[in-house]
Parts: sequence; structure tokens; C-alpha cells
Amino acid sequence: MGISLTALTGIHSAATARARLTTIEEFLNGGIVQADLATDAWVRRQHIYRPEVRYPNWVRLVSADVHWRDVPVGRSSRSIHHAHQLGSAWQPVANASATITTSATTTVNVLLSMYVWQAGGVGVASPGGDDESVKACDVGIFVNGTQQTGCNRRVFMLGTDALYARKQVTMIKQFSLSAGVHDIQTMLKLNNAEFQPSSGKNYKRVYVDCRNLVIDAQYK
Amino acid sequence: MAQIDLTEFFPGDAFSATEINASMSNWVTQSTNIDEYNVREEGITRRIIETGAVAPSDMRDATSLGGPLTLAVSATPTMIMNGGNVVRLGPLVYDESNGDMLMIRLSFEHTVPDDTSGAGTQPEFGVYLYYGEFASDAAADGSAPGDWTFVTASDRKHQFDDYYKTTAATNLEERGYCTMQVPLSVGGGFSSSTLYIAAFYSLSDPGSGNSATVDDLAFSAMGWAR
Repeated sequence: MGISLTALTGIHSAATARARLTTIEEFLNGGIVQADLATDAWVRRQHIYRPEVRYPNWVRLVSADVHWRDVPVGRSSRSIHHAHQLGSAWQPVANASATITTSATTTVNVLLSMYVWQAGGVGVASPGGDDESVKACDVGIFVNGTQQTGCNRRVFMLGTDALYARKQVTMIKQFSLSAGVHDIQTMLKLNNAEFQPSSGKNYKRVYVDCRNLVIDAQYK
Repeated sequence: MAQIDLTEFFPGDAFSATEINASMSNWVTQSTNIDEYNVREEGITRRIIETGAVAPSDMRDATSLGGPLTLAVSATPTMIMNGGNVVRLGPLVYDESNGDMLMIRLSFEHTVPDDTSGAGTQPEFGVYLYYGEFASDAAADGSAPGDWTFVTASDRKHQFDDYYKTTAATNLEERGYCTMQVPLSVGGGFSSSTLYIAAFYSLSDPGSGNSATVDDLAFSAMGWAR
């Protein structure tokens, strides 16, 4: 509880000086208590920041990490998915995946937001006209190679007159991940039957324009 | 805020208690005001803090009643709402401490596959978040009694078009995606230690035989103690 020393006057013995040094010694050697700390908010992040570097680009903060991928809009940044090249298997969306490392069981919130649309052909000739009834592709969030429940969005063909199948595709999902390395991926699967020339339709590709993937890891 | 200042004296100087007193007075003052001038920053960053010594924020997950960490449905089975009926999803259950701040996340895909009710009818699909505190609810599921409270700014709606009904009376499918992340906080804390969070879906003016479908849904909540 602080140091209390009366000012010296006159002549003193070595024992006095020694006692005072002992007082300071005891204070520094474990005598500091909470009340001795300044009450203003002087403890900043750098006082408690303890990085744990596991990979060259990965740092674990004390209570939470945020990993993200941002891809701006622009032709040069598009992820283009051609049916005749890639078929109907799940395929990754470029620059929309991340690998994270957790040191303990961690609650992770994943937010995915993308502008996805089909193009390359003419409109859908469906019974209702220009409705959203013919699927162009699925978009999903995968963790370690497995699509997660509640993480699928369907993107539909454009109509002849209406373009409302062009939409912002969004998902939020919370996971509980064990300690280790986890691959969180944005994947896309074309509805190949509708893309084949033999189907009589000319829908050739799906574009993924600007996109964001935010992975918020909360440590307990 | 200050650093400890040692009043210096050197060999050959006339030595008196004055210099020592000046130093000690400064030490006494600073010993009850330890701050960033006394704590060596680089000394406590990467070298000397033991793993786990710094406690993270008190973060807790909500759990669903009798279910997994989060509520989620895949494309099969779907959640189907008939016209006029309100469907409740959840509730999630959160163990509240004192004035926690929660983040509620809801994400899904929805469809109105058909509208045969005739021109002029535009079904509106809506979803709303509510919370409730049911201290006296024996069933502990928000079924009764208790009132649900609307979570501010958590209503999302999709009014479906009926333009093409005049030319095509069937199979007018419309799709939409809904994602929201909504904070929930009550100043001074909630009244009960158990907090219920639910999503309510509705389909207004659906016409005869219409229904809306929700697929691939994820619903979760987590909170932090203040």
C-alpha cells in the first residue's frame, strides 16, 4: 500500500538508511496492491497484448481474432465459373476463403456477402414467365471440406425481361471449432444440366463480383 | 503521472539528507500512482505473460432448447408457413449475467412459390426478432406466460410482386435472401437471468393455398458480460 517515508533530518545511522531501502525493496517485491495503481484508464492494448505467432501471417489476440477477405467490384477481380470447363462439382470462389488456427475450442461467426449472377444466355422460358424457377448454381460455406448446415444459397437464371435474379447473396453462420487448423471456404456448384448446350439453353457462366468473407473468432 | 525521479548526487558533492529526501519524496508520491510511466510495455508483452494469464472477455453462447449450439435447418426439411400463420423459430436460451450485450444472427433463404389469389394481392413475407424473460414459465420455452419484446430494427420484409399474375397465373416463384446481425442490450440488465430469443415469421395476405418456404437457415446468438 504505497511507500510511507518520513523525511530525514539531522544525523542518522546506517540502520535508518537500511530500513528505508528495505521498505522500498518490499514494495517492489510484491508489495504493490491494486490501490497503488493510477485510476485513470492508462492500461492500453500494448500492455496486455500477447501475440502467439503460429504462421507467418497469423497472430492470436487475447480474446478475439477477425480474418477477412475483401474483393472489390471490377472485371479483373471477378470469379468466373464456366460450366463447360468445371462441370457441376463444387468449386472454390476465388479470394473468398481463409484458413484459421484455433488454440482451443472457439466460437466462430462466419459472414459471407457476395454479388452473384448468371449470364451468357437468353432468358428463361418457364411456365410463369420471368420467375425464379431455374437454378443456376448453389453457393455454400464449407469448413474443412464439408458444407455446413444452413449454409446454402441458390442463385437463379435471369429472366427475359426481369433481372431480379441478380442479388446479393448473404449468409451468417456460427460454428464451434475445436483446436487446430480450419479451412473456411466459399464454394460454388453450377447446375450443370441447365448449362449444357444439349439442354437447348445458352446459360454459360456465373459471375461472382465484389465479395466479403469475415471470420470472427471469439475465444473463451 | 510521472516517473520516479532520483535527485542525483555524485562523489565529491557535499552529502546531506536533502538529496535523499527529495528522491524518497518522489518515490512515495509515485508509489500510489503507478501508471504507464512505471510499467515497461515491452517487458509485459511478448516475453513474460504466461499463456492464459490474461482472461479474455466473458463471452457466452446461447443454446437452443434441447438442441445444438445453434438452430439450423438445411434445404431438407424446409420450414413451411401457411398463409396467416405465424411461425416461431426457437427460442434460443441465453444465460444472462448483468447487463450483457448480445449479438443475434439470423440468415436464411426464402421462397414464395406460387400466388394464385388473383390480381391485386401482394403477399408480404416478414421476419422479426423478439426477446423474452419468462421467470415464471414452468415450461421454460417462452410458451406461457410472458410477453415477447420486439428487438429494435429487426424486422425484414419481402413484398412479392404480382405483376405477372395478369398474364401467368401460376408458378410465379420469387426468392430472397435475408441476413441480419442485430445487437440486443438493455440498460441496467435484463430482469431475468434467463433470456429467450426467437424469430417470428409471417406471411400476410397470401391468397388461397399459398405458403412461404424458408430454407438453409442459421440462427444464433452470443453475448458478452459488461
